[in-house]
Amino acid sequence: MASAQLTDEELFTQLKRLGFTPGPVTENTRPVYLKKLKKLREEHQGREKPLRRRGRSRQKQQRDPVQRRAETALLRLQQPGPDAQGEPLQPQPAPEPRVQPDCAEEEAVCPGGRAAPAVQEGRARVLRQLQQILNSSLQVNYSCSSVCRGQKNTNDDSDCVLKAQNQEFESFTLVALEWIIKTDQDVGLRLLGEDPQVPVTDVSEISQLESTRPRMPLTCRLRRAFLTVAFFSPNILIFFSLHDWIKSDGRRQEEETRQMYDMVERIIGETRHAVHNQDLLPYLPIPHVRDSLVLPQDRKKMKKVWGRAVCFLSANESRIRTETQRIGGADFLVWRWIQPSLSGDKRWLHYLQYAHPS
Amino acid sequence: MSTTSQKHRDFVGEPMGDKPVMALSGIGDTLGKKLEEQGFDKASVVLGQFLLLKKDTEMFTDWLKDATGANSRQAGSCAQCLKEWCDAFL
Repeated sequence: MASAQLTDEELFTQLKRLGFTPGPVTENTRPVYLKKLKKLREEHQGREKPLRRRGRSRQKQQRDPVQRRAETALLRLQQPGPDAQGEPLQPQPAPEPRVQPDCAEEEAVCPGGRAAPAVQEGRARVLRQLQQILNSSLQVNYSCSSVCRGQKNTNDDSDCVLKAQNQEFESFTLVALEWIIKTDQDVGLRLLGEDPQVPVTDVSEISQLESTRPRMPLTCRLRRAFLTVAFFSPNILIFFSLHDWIKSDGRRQEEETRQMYDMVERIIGETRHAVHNQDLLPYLPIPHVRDSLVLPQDRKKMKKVWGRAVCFLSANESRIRTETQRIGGADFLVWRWIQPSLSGDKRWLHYLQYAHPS
Repeated sequence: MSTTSQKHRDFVGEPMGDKPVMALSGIGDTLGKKLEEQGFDKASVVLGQFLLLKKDTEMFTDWLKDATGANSRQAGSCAQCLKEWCDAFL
């Protein structure tokens, strides 16, 4: 229909038919409305293409008949409630016989993946409902084992259940299964063939349905949660205690080292004093130093620190020399301060000689 | 909302009365002249066009762009200005 030949009234009615309410079409508003008509027509074409069956009489508002049919079927399925447990009920009368011929054509044209996104959306919704029903029916055969998966229901069983409920469902099930195979999303149902590990590529291979989101009773959920925590918590506890132990150990080491250095300094101080003190011997027996520096009640505690301090001194302190001397008839390990005093004492020469006997 | 210009605020603040078409936000001298050539000599006539298009800013923007060669910013600004005036006074 060439736009140039449209009168104002025709343009008006065309726009209204496409769902848009225009203002009056005047000389001024005409070009704008023509553009709008063109835009609306393009949108309309894009949306209607996959569903075009009878041409212009089909309105845009009518939804995918497969979806509509399935939704009504599902609604009726959900009504019986606790009866949906696998026993075949009296089949319900099919309410929409006139849609039946459409259905067969639809499936031929639109299997699974090629449907338009809107159709897919609808199907997804219906599938979700289907899955809910499956879940509730699977609930009975469910065992709260350690793996806790929904019991697998063979395809025939579920088919029977659904078919018994509503005769129209048969074809839809096939389409739905095909769609599940083709789609990559997680629809909550897993299709299993004879060998559970091999992915299914064709509807005929399916022998079992498995639900990925089983509806577990509360007790089972609690039990699972408890088990998970019970297995997990020892690890966590161990980890934390290890961490704490390492930290405290580090701290302890630091503390001991600090004490050792402190002790070393005090020993140096004492030994130095001994030199300057004329009436005492110029060296000090090690045990005597220890006993004068460390209080009696601490001696046992400080044993390790003392040992380290002694080692440190013998290795790192050059101004103190460790020697063996006989004091009062007993042999003692002693410390002698050998740093020469800077006043140029004669004793310095003497020590030099002592140090290098040649 | 983006900040409004002084022109916008001046227009939307009071009944338009007999204001010229250049008083509309987004319409300068060039665009104003083009509108006057087409018969839209007062702001109220442009308002008339806006109302004819059922106060749809998108359609009005399209129309203004077609009729005067305005760019999107100018047309959008004018549409917004008229819409707010209508909200306030109509």
